[in-house]
Amino acid sequence: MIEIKQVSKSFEKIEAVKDISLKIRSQYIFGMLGTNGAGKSTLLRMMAGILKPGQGEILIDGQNVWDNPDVKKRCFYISDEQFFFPNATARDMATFYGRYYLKFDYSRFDELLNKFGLDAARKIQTYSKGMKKQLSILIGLCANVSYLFCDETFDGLDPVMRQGIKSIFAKEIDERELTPIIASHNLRELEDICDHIGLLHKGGVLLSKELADLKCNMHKVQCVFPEDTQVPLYKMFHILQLKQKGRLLSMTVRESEEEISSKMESLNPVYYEILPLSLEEIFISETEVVGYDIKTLIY
Amino acid sequence: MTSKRSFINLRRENIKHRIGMIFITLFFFFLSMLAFLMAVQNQCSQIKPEMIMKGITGLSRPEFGMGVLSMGAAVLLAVSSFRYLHSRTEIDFYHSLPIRRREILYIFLTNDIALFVGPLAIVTVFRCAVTAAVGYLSRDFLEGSFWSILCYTAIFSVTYLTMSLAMLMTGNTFIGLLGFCVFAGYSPVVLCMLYPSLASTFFITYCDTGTNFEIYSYFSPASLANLLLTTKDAWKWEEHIVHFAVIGAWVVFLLIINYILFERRASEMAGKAMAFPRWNPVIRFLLVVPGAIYVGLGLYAVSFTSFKPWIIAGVIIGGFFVHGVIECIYRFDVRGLWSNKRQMLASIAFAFLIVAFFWMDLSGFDKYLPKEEELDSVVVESPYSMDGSFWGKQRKGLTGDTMKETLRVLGKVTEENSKNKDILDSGTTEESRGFSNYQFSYRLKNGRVEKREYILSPELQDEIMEQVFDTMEYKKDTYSLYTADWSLVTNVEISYPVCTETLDMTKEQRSELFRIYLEEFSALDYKTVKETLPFGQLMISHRFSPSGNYYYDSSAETSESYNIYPSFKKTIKYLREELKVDVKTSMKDIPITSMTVSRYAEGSDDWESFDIYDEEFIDSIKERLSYGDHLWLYGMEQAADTSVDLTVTVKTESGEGSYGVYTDSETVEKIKQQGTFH
Repeated sequence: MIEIKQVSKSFEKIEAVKDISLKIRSQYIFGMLGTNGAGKSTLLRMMAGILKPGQGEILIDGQNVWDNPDVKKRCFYISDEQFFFPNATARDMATFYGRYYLKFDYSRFDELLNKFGLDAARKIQTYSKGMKKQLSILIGLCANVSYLFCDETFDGLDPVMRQGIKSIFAKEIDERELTPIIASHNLRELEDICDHIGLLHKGGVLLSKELADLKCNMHKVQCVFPEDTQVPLYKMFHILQLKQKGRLLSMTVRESEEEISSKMESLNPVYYEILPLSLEEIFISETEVVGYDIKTLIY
Repeated sequence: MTSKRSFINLRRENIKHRIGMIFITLFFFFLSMLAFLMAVQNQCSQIKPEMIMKGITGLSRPEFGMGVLSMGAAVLLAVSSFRYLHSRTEIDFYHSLPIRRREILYIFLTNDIALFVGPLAIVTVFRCAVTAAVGYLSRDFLEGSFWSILCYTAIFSVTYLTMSLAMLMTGNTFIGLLGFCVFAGYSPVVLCMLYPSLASTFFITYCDTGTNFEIYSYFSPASLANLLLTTKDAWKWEEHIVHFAVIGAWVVFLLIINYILFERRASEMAGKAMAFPRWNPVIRFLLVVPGAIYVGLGLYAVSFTSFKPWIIAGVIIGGFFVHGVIECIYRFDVRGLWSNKRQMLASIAFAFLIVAFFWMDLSGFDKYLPKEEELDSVVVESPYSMDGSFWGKQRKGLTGDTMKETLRVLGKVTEENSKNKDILDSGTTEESRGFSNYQFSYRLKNGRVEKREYILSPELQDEIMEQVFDTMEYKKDTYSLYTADWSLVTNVEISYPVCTETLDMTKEQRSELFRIYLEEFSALDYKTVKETLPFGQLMISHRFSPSGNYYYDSSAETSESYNIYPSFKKTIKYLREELKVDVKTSMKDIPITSMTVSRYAEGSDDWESFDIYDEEFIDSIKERLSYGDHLWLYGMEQAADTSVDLTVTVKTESGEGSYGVYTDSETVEKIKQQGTFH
């Protein structure tokens, strides 16, 4: 388990991460969502032991990760822009990592390289951007670590490869208790794969929930009430967002389907419909609440 | 902690990924092997085996070429190792690995040392093998090789750790290299020159104190390397114990500081200019203050005027400029020029304070005159003494009553100095005639030495010389021959009217000549110097003692002259009778056929002259003429009228020759009446 305890990090005058506390359970795929500059990468780099928290501490399986090889042996960090030695081949990089990650599975590495159609003897500098991403994920997977930190890892992968990686992730989670922590803007991908979502905004955590809970507890409600009816909607519902078009009301409500349904029934609407929210819609709604209005950026 | 086995694996892995550096290092060492082969071949072309042995043994000793190579290798290896700290991608890669930070540092340090020492050892073995093959391998060669390895490793270590410190303190490789230049040059250039530059600009009496500035070189890898390799003669380890100790201390200090900084350096500083922003103001201040002062002094120097407000303008411009450049570097943004204005103003103000301290002479430098009771001795260095080339034993200085009297005159000198400087700087030629610079070293009882240079009017020079010239203390301090090691003398020549010849004599004869000469020179008083002109001189060529603290090394050779006066009867007799030299003490018997009288035309730079062919007249003044080839002593201008230049044409066996002569004022007047200048 990863415990992030009141962690803050500033870069000179910029506060990148502000007093964050989080718990990431093992064998869960943790999706870290956030606006640009929310501190996702910073938090991930602190979890990987690259950056030292300005305040607070990050514990992995109860041990502080900072400059602790025993803990770092169980973690692998896949940067958004992975480094490979000049002129190195995939095989060279595997050998290099194998010196540090003593459980590195070379046979699996070869097997995965074959599956993904990557040439082990070819210089990495001749790989495409997507191939480099694939390679870094494969190395991370073959390092046989418990925690895999992926920073924007799925960007640049084609849909087929993405699916391939996802299925490997799923298998690894089942087989050897892998806990991937994925930071991404790509909400739809996280939606497919993640069990738990942490939403970061301006260096703080807006919410951290299991995806199922998040989805179950947030809905879009479209309804029409009879004319001249005054409905105390804000009193009755936990509304995050309310829009009106003629007599049609659209609300984003943080409540379960059952709760919304029973309340709606009591109000006798002309029409109502409860729709599930996509992760992207949840992201936009939650961030809007704290003043990150997508409309101001678009219009 | 990483196990020993995996640590070796990690080192091996690191080496594997530095093929480029290995290639460059090996290539340069390969070149050095070729150079050695050529040098051995060159030495072997000598005829005498002992010369070949000497030459080849000399090749084993530490030398500058390899020193520079060691420094270059250190800079390259440190940059290639620590460059990763300047790249976010690479820092993420290295710092996410399951290894302690200090272990990364150990891997880099040990590998880089191995990358240097390994090839160096191979080169040394190669050199020994080549030397053995040509049959000149000796104990001295092996000893020289050992010290060479030690020297180059020391130079490599101190340079490498300084470069790595610069890389650690910065977040950009170019800035890191600039930082290394600052580390290398700050102490031996910026700090070392600051006081002499300010003092020579603002203090009238400042002169090169001969202070040993070596201490400033101890704080730079480049100048430490220079000290370690500099040698007057053959490199000897005994002369470099202090340098080895200083480098050792530096290596330990740099290792500690590198370790601490490596542990504390924040990974997020990759790509920034500086990795420890808290130190930025301190670094800026340390650079802006001397920078502003130097620009001030530079502007004053290029103005070619004595208008000192240029210094103020320069300090402001320099302060603004240096501060601005540093800010631009810190921020990677030209708009940073105006940042941190308060600190810029503070730095400029501090620079002004320093300049003001010198300008207003708040330390009383120019007015300094030690109290009699504080003083141990005074050394007088007149422009006529041989300061730079003095090869006698250490000067003792004037003591006792002579010192007290000299000090009394120096009281007047100090008071008049400023006025005399103005006369010398801006007075007419006539006003400043005879003014001259004298240096005095005050040796205090507390061991300190204060040196001052004064501008003395002819009257004050006369007053000083009347006090000091007749004393043996002055003569021994001024004329090297009294205390020098005569075995260093390589040749003695004599010049007299109108001839110069080498004295062919044994060592014993030479010693006897010097003894007799010095006996008579000791008796020479100031009155005689003022009234009589010498007729010739001894020109003594000599080397310098290897153990002496001279400007020159022991292979350098120079010469100095000693006047012979007509009163030096014993010397003349010894020359004539023992050395069989037909010394002429006057121009009386010289067949002068004509005389050219020249001078600068009054109020102009034009040269005017006339010739005298009247042999009768020339014969009448011959005895009053003095052969001009001699050392000039203060007081002689009273015996010789230098308002005109006199050149005589003499009949010789091979034709004719021209020689400069001097004479007294009365004879000059007679000569002037013989023609008209045109």
